[in-house]
Amino acid sequence: MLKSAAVGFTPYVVMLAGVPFVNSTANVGGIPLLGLWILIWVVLTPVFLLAAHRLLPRAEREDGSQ
Amino acid sequence: MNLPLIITAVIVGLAVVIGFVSHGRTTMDLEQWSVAGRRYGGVLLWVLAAGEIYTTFTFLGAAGYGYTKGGPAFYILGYGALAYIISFFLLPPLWRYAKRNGLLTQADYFTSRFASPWLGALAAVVGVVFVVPYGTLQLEGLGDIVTTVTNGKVSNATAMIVAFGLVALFVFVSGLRAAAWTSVLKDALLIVAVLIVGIGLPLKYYGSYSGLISAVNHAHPGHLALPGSSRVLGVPWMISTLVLTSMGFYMYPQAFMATYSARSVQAIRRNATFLPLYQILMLLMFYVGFTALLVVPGLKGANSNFALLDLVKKGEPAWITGLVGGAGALAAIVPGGAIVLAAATLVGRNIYRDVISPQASDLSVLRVSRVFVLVVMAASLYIAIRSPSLIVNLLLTAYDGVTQFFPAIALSLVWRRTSKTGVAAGLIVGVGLVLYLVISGHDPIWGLNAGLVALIANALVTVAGSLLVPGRASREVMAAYAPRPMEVAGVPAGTAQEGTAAP
Repeated sequence: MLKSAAVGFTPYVVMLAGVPFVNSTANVGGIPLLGLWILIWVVLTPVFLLAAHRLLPRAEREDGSQ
Repeated sequence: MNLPLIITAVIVGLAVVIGFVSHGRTTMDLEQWSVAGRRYGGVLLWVLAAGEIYTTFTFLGAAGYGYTKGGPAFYILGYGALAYIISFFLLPPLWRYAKRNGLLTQADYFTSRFASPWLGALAAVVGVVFVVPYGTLQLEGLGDIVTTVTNGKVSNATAMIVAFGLVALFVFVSGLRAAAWTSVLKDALLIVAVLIVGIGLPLKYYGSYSGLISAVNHAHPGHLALPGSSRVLGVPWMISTLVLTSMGFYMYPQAFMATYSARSVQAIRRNATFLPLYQILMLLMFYVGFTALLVVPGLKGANSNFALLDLVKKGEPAWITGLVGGAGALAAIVPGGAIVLAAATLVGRNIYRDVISPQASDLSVLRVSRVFVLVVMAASLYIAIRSPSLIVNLLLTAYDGVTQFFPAIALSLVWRRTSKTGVAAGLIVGVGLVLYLVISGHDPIWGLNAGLVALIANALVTVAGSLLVPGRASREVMAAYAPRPMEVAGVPAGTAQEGTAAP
């Protein structure tokens, strides 16, 4: 479970940790740098969650609770 | 009659019809009414789980926030994705616990997990207190939208009374089904409206997004970063607000309840994985806000809620104004319906049954809850008409408040000793601090979101209280969180059932 959480929470931690370094109005192809940084990690979140799903303990992945 | 008004009215009318029809042929018992029999996967669970994303807050608030504050608005783009990450891990065990113990409301969780109806009642009171401002917020947004698209022909109060009378009725009749099915229409229309105005308006005035951003940077240097035009909302505020709002996302009683309606843990995780993509469109609303800043400058305070609508009226044909008005109205009344449903069920289950009349049958709980649909509606309406205020600030207060449930819920999943004493003390401290800090104007405090400061105090008190007076949850209680394999003791895959029987 810890491995899965570590991967799943990567975008969470990185998005927040990066904020002080991207706090700029620089126009990057029509989007301010701050907004672009957040957008990138929003888009990458599904990728990390898919990976987190593969790393879940087997009992979680095959949970049949209905 | 004018065209925008007609289109708006048709859209709202269509939603009302869908709300009533969604009742279908189901026999409406309490479980069907409040959590739709826990049968949702696919589209209905998706729109319910995303309920928070496409609301009036998104529609007017995001544009308004981009307009008045600038860079700080980008938190609205990020918090949903972060919330879905938390939900990916937090909701599956909660859902299993709720399913196995037949929970219907958020406060039910407190009653059940800590074996304390009084704690459940406390959670219900806190939930209702904070969810009513949120309902009020939706009402005010609706009033603004209808008044603006009709050029003041329909007054704010009339619009609110008519629309919310209709909502109260369809929620009364169809419960969560109404909220789910009308959400499908609402989300579809909002996406179309966001695409039309979010692409059309900035390009019409500035030719390209890049041109728009350059123009904003030229006219308002620093607006598009932190603290933007807000002065106080800097980097620490941004980070603390993202943390707070991502934890609070599912702590709203109606969002928590919507989770119970899921068919399975797999459906919850699949949703959490892809929902972040649903939020990307939010970016377009900021562009609309930035465009408005340059094209219709000078809106202050609560009037910034009109940034989007003023710009639409100025720059788009009448039928688009009508479409935006209708989509915006649904963005208010559909979440409004879910909110009222949650508040009413909290009163019926956790105040009426748990504390006042423990012998009450499900049928009489359903009856009381339905009466409270009307009561809560009336209360929100009263507040909305008497004291209009800036949409986003109200939301942040409500958000700070409901997020105070988070420490208790997160801890209780993994720590057997989490106790009712600790939870009650933590909740009271957290909520008390939120109210004090926000009302006395200390938000942000030390550059941080005041809600997060209260949350930390709350978590510390919860832990300390649980160490002093430990809870004694049995192994059976904790086992209710655990996954169960598809074939339990020879039950064929897909038919395993436990606890209260489902249809």
